[in-house]
Amino acid sequence: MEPFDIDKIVREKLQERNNLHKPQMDSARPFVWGAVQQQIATQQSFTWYHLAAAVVVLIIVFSAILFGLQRRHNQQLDRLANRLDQIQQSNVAQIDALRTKDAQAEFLESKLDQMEQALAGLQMEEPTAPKEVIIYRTDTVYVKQVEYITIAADSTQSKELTTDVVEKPLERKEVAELQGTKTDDVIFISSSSQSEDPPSEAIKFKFGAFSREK
Amino acid sequence: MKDQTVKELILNEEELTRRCVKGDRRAQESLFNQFYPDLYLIAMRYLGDHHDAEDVIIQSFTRVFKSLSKFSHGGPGSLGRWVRTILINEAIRSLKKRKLIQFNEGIQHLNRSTSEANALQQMQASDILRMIEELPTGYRTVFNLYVVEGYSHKEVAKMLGISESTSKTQLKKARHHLMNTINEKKSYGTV
Repeated sequence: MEPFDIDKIVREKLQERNNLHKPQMDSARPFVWGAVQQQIATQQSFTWYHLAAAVVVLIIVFSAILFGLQRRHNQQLDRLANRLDQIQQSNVAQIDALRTKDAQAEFLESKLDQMEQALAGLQMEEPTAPKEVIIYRTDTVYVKQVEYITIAADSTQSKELTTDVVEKPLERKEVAELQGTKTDDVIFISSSSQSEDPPSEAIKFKFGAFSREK
Repeated sequence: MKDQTVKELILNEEELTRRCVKGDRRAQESLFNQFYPDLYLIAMRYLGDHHDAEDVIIQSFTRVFKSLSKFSHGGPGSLGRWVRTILINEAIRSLKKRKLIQFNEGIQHLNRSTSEANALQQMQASDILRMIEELPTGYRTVFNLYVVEGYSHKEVAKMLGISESTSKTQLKKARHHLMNTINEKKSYGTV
């Protein structure tokens, strides 16, 4: 008997219907189907778990990336700080000289400020240019007349005026007494001639007219 | 009415597949009932243990329903072949995972006789199945893959991660073991 024959016989026999394991198969069927259903349901809901897990993983990954970047940044900063320290330590003389120059520059600057302030103060104290002001001066006119005679003429008497009528001063005033007096009263300058003509406008003036002069 | 619907679904594999992909629970149950008996026997043939067979069947059907949307129908019986392939792969994965496959390299010579062939012919399918299940795991796996499923030694070697010569040796040993069992049964008068 060749091996091929054995294989052929076995293959043919296995294609026949048989009831081997039928009791176990039938008894396990509900359990197996239930388990399959449960697995399918778990797979269907697994999508959400999967999504949540993916989100968590993404957050973790991004956090890790950010942490890495921050760490690298800090390392670079440390390196730069160390480099700066090295430069400072290797160039102490130049740094001191620069600091001295800085101090001098600051001192000069402050001095310059002080001088500017002092100059500004001096300019404030200088007198201002006089303004052109118009001054009005009141002049006093002294009338060189010894006495003022006020003539009181009576209209009724004028008709009968005679040479006998003597002008009689009503009042006598000294010049000093009139100084600073303003009046609108008409003052007639007395004259030696005793004219009966009414005083002309030419000799009539007011003190007020002389009271001002530009 | 329900039986008629199930019968229609069995006859039309494409429709059954489409409904299962849509999540139709009745169609899924119909597919399960259609393939469960065959898969159970195959699982037993590879694993030789009821609990292991049930676990592998659960894993296989879960994989079937998960991957059913990717299945392209290739004529009558293609769905059955696809489901069967999934179960075989799951069974081998289970055996590998638990490191149950051991391959003995020793070569044993088989003295064949026509009486063994006659005895084999007279045996019932269930007896042959039981004999196969009683084979050592390595022999049984190679015998199942080569003799029953029809894979070549190259394919068997690739599936199991062994050499072709190992596959051939294991097959020879499996046959030898089977013949010895038949001889034993003959001597006990059970065949």
